[in-house]
Amino acid sequence: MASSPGFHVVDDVEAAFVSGGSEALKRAYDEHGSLIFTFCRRSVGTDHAADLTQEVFLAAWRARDSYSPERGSLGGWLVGIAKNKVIDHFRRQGRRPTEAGEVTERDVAPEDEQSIEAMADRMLVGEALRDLPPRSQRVLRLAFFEDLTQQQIADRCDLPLGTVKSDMRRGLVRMRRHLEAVR
Amino acid sequence: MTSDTPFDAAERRDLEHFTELARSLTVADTHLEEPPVDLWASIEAALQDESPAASPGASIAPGSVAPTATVTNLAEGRRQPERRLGRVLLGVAAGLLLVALVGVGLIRSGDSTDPVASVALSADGIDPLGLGLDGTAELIEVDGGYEIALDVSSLPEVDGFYELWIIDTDVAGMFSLGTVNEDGRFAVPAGVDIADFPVVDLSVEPIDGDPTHSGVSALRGVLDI
Repeated sequence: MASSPGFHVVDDVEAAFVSGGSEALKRAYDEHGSLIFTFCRRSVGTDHAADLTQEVFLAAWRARDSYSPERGSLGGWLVGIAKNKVIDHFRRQGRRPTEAGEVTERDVAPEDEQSIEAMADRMLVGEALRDLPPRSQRVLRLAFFEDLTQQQIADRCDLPLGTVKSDMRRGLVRMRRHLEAVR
Repeated sequence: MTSDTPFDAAERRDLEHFTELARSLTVADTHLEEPPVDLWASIEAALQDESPAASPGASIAPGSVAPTATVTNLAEGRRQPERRLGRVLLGVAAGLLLVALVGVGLIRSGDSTDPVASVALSADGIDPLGLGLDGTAELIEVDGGYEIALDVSSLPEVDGFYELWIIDTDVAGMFSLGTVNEDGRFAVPAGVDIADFPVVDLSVEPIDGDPTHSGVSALRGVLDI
């Protein structure tokens, strides 16, 4: 094999965001708007979700110099910003407990930062799984949901064990990338 | 690490951690809701108010991107509408574990005539010769292996010849698929796992008898496999 000068391989939405050209934030919004809005709605309820989502994307744009693909996925980075905005939101509200009978449309209690974090992780894992290329996705789904060993996956899919390991390795690297930027 | 090495402790921990997280996913975690339709307009307006001179269309702030970094676009195929089917799980009770839905095919089973993967090749960020080409590369499964089907807009005369490569993402290694005189199919060497070498690169090579990559690329794309 030969070798050549290095280059980074990044997601095209991330590349656009980093280069800061026209449409950069719009592309990030098109790609990740639903993820952020859903996270916000589940955290703070319908009344505040849109405002908070707007705050997240404005903050992301102002802080865009601090994002680089080496830190992790853009989606993960945005969820990290959203998490902080949610926590700030509850602090401003003084973490008032909900009134009896009030329908909160929230999936987390305001004082429970841990479950907000856990929800962020789960949503990012879901996002990461959806985003995996077909081979890694198939292998990881069998490992996660059917509890198969690598050898069992190899037998089931009629693949060499080495291939299953590579696909799994590659998939785990991608999944890790989605979650590390949220920290 | 080669594909045959056993998982180390860190990888096993990752696998356990993600398995636990994945198994705890509920439909609510994966059913994403669209924001209100006027939200983007509101964001854009707020940006204009903030700093009319620095809109999302402003030029790069100093230090934000290392000028020597070259970015390569991944396959457009990843953003096709049908992949978003996974986001809309209709008529399923909230709280139902995602595990039960694993049988819902989020992985398309292609028939044998569909390419396994395809990518639009681009000259963005490379192309020192300024050839301005574009094209596509498709990964086709054939008996006993794979081929790359290359379709390029044109192949203008150069001082040398065109060569097609598959390169790994660490840029630690690559394989030449041969000289390119026209569009066609190029066999991936038997025994090479194409998923380890997903970067497809069309180079311009001088006639000097040196088999290594010249470093002069005309087109590049990354297969999503």
